[in-house]
Amino acid sequence: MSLEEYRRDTWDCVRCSHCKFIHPYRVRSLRFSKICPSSAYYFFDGYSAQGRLDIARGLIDKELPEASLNELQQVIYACTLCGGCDVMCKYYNDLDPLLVLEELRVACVHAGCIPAQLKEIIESIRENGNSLFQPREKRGEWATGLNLKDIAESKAKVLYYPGCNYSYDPTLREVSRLTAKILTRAGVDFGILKAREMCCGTLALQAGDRNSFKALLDTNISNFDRLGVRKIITSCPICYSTFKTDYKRYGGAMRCEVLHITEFLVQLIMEGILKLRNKVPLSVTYHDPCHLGRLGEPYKKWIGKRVKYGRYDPPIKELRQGTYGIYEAPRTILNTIKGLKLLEMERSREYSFCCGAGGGVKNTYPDFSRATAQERIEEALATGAEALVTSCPWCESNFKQAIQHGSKKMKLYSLLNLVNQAL
Amino acid sequence: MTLPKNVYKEIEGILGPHNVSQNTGVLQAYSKQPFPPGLLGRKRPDAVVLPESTCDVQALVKLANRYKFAYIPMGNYNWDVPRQDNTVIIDFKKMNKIVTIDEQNMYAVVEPGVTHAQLQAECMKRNLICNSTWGGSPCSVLANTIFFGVGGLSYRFGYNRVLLSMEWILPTGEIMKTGSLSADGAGYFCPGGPGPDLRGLIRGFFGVSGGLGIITKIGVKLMPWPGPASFPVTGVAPNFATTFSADRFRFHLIRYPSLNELIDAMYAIAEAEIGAVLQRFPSSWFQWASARSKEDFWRGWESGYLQKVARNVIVVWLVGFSSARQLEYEEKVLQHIIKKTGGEDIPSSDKLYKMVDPAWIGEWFQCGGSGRIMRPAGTHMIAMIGFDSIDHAEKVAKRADEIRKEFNFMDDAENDWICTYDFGWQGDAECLILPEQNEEDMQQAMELAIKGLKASLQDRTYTGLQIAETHHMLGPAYGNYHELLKKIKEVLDPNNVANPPNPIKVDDSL
Amino acid sequence: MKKELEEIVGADNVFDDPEILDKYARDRSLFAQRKPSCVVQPENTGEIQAIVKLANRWLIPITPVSSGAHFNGATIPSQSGIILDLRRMNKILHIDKRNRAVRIEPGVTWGQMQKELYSHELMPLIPLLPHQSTSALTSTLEREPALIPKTEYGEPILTLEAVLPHGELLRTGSACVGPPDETQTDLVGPSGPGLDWHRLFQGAQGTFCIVTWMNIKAPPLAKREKVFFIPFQNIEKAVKPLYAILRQMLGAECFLLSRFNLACILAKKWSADFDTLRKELPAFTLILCISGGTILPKEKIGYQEADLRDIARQLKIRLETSLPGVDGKKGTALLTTLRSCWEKEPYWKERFKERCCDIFFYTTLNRIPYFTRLVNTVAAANAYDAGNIGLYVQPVDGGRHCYVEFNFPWNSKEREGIYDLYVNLSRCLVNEGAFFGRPYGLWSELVYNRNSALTATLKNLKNIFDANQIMNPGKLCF
Repeated sequence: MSLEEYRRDTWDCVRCSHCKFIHPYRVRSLRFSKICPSSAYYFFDGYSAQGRLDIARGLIDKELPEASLNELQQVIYACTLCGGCDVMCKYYNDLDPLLVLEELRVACVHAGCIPAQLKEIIESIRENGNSLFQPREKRGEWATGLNLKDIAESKAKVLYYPGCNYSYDPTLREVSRLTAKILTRAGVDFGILKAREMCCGTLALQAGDRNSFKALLDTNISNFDRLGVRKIITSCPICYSTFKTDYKRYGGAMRCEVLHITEFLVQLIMEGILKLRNKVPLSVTYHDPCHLGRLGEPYKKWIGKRVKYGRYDPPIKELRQGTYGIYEAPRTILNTIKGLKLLEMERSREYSFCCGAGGGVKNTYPDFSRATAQERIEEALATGAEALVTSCPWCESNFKQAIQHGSKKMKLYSLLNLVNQAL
Repeated sequence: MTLPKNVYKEIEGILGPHNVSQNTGVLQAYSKQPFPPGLLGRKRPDAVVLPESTCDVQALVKLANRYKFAYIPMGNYNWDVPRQDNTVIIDFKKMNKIVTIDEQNMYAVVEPGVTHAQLQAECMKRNLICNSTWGGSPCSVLANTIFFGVGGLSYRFGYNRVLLSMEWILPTGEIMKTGSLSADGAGYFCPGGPGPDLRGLIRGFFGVSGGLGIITKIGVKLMPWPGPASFPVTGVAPNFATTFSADRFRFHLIRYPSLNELIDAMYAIAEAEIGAVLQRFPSSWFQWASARSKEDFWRGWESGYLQKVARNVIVVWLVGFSSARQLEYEEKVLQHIIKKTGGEDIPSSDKLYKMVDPAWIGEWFQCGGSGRIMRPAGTHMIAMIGFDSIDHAEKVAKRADEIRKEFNFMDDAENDWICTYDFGWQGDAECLILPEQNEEDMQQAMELAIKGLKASLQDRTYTGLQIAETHHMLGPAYGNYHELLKKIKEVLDPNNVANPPNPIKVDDSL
Repeated sequence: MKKELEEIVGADNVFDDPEILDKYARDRSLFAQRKPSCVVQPENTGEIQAIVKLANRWLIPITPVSSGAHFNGATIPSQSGIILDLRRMNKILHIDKRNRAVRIEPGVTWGQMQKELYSHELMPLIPLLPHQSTSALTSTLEREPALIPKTEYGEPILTLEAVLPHGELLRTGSACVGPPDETQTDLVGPSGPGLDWHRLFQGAQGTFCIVTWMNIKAPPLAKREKVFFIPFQNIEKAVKPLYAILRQMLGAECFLLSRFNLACILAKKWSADFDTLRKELPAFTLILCISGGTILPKEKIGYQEADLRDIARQLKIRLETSLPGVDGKKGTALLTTLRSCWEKEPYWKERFKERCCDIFFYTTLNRIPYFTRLVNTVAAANAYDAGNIGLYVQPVDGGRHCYVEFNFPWNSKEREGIYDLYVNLSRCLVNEGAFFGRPYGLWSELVYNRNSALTATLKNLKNIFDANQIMNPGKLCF
């Protein structure tokens, strides 16, 4: 892959500006009508998908020399890669803005202008198997006292894969622990990898370090195969979409079924295995994580070329545009909890406004990241709900910090926490 | 970068460094014009600025006159890129207030950063609706209204008739208030006066693209809206569905055997003064409107189905603005006209009808799908456009067909968009082509447009393609208006800083 | 110069007789007389062009005049010069039934046009009871509001042909393609070329050009109609119902008259009938005509009436089909009177006293009660009997704003007093946000002095169009 492969995409952008806003049919107010966090924060068009496609076009057509990537770095990397622009654009045209954004970062890495913070994260993944600069051996400590099967030592039907954040972050461990407890309670035969668990590699991919990502991909798939893993349940949407989609995109032959915990919980509830008996009298609004929602939909591999009019040869049957992301499972769960009232934000499902944590921006552009989270919290408050709920470690962590340091206060729960209260 | 450092510093001084950028990545994003012929001519500006207020804009304009740099005010669907060095682009994203929605008197006042979707959402909550624009709902209400402004309800709002008063920064930096805004404490409700109506100075068929100054606030008309408080959509993209209550809304597709009979029907419907929407919907539009991908479009189009069943179809939306009784009355009148004019009211169970319903049916009230016109080839272009009566639209459309045959664009014969305005007092034919964004197609597109212009002059029809590039060609045939236009530009913009060469070229430097 | 003019138009059409000049030196307004040097009556565009070119050579002002009676001072030649009286150009050039338009010359009156249009089942967008000699073209050009406030009927000018102040010809919109008999257009596209010249020429009081023909909207004549009269005891009570009716886009003609005005209009025998009507008419009457349109007229009237009755019930207003104290003048017959020319002298506004001073401006409906109170207060302060003030409210553009006209009858002995009232009241109204969009007389000074950028722009435009400043100098800000 290279930028040149996206020449058609960059040329066919007509600056319609749909990538900056949610779908017009869904706009409910001026206040909450934008989809693109970086366009909303920085305002200049360079920070939108349209602007970045123009940059890509410039590099492809040599209007911009490769040396300019140094100057372009900030514009390229100040993006959460949330995919909002991609969903919007595909409603109208056959372009792949998100892939172009990814490719721009790859170009930066090749030119040696990856942001230092991301370079350090990749180094941490390489050295310690996680993106949080933590010792490898402490990865399994989240499960202390839970007596969980080590899948490397005892066979299990399901691998529970918490991911780096749910493993290491003490403020988020509740989710992995609750997930494990619930799976146990439901009688699921599952195991964990403990210290053998390796980062899915998403931040390497998001940084544009394709080689590092591929190395992680190979390692993980090889481990899963070796251990005979055929089903993975994860609480982390980022790991979920990485395994399900990105590994496939990069040629990984994942032989396992990958489920997010919300998908699995819905099954358990429908089958009557999990009964949510307790009342939880609370009004909540649910934030759709990007990687569970619009970026969580399945990927069908396509190899081909663009021909006249930009048609695909062989044809793509359906563009991937967030239609089949996981939106209803979390809502079904919440609606099943007695006494809980679910209020929707104006931007929801495929038009959910990003929490601001993705794309490495939490480390590279923390002000932008925090402002984005605060924007979302304002939107949550505007629903009148008492609490904000989500099911993603990046979202939860970023919202937590924004609430802590910002002026807007709101209760925040993980979905697992509410399920636990209802059990 | 040609803008002198000291000038850049002064701009930063006025607007704040966070509102000014010379970053290459930022500049690159403003370097391409989305449509032919400008598509192939790309140029980065020297800086992009984000003013936050009218005062900011005024200060910038005065600076431009002092240091003789050009500026381009832009909306969200950029029409202009720099044609010369020393050009600053003004992006109004931070000036995005809906200043007021006067519910009683049915108008809104907006800054340039407000989009159609945003204004529409705020209006619907108040049982009002603004005109949508087929440029797409991310378009700036202000920029689109003073430039083109054709949308779903133009049949009722009129062509170029939604604009009320304006707050206008002249090219030399003075602030002018037009219409009732000129009376302290009056508001934006009245467009004309005092004395002459200065809306006449901001546009003709098309607007002047900031060539005679920058408009920083406008009043726009609103209409009563008997529909829901928010656009009624369900589903996840692209599987949207919209439904409107049957007692106040009714959508019709009516097919005619020939264009001539279709035109007669449009006249009859317009004269009966019914409907909220009345336009001829081209056959290929059914396809791109519903297509989920390029492949979807081309397979459908190449099957030949639409060419057989969708030539000469009009869209009529009946809306009971006053009551359900009104809707029933208009339904009866419409059926009477359909019978009399030999039309076929396509039933809702028909495959063609279903191509429009379920998602597109609300398109005329909130434009959310028109951007799909880019899908077939990557861009589109108005090859010919004629503005006068509905009969005139037919003439222009037929002529466009003849000319298009000589070129290799998608075969879209007998297929032009015919809109009507003000209960049919005017009509226009927009003859579009769908070229690819490459040098060959762009050249062909240009040739076609010029041929179309020449044909229009020869035929003595009236072309709407009146832009900076064509005034010198059209002027001598149209009463030498270009001479007046040139003088106006020279007087109002003596330093030629307001988006040259708009509205007309005044020197040979470009 | 006279000789040259005679060579252009013929000796019979050039006048410098003092008595004739005297007639053009004044009008029915309060404004000072200014005598022209001659009056010329051309017959066609070519003659007008020649006259204009001559005027440029001699730097002589031209004041174009189309109507026979004038009320606002716009045709008093501030700097003397030539009166260009266009009454000989009085042809209805073409009625286009399909495109619902009528093309007229400046000398065509409303009555003349109405009669012709009716015979083609079309109707004019007529203002309230124009003088029999009022030019329909000039009235439209000066944005006199029509009785029907429908948005779609608004901005009735389609295209026009004008002689510019240097003598060139400009046709606007789709008419620019060529002379009417050579074009493939139907002369109905207003926009362009380049700019909307037809908008710049509106409200200009003849300072930018001389319009030689105009194509105007002429909607279809309804086959059936029903008229309602809605009485109000005070103006405050009329606001909500008017908003409701206009919001639902009900009706065609929709306007409000005070009892004083209606009495002046309806009185047959003066002053006995007038006195009776003043007692018996409601303080204010909203006149609303429900038009049946062209297809299924009964059904249209049916639904609109039903919707109107819903509003009436909700807002507790009465819907009458006749007016008290007016025998034999039911509904439609009365409306026919109101939507025609005033064919007799004295003009209806001048029945009570010799003359009438009109103060008119634009505002929104909700502010009318405030302005009414203000007018009454200032009138009282100027010792003017509020009972003799007429009020006419004409919703415009679907009711988005209104034309408001206060009428102050006066006799010649009261001239000074009425002038003081006019000045004081105009100033107060401007200060309170009344928009004098048609700035005649003093109003031009009041509005343009407050808007330097607008004034400068207009002057710039004027200098472009009329470098020698010959077209009706002294009007607007020129």
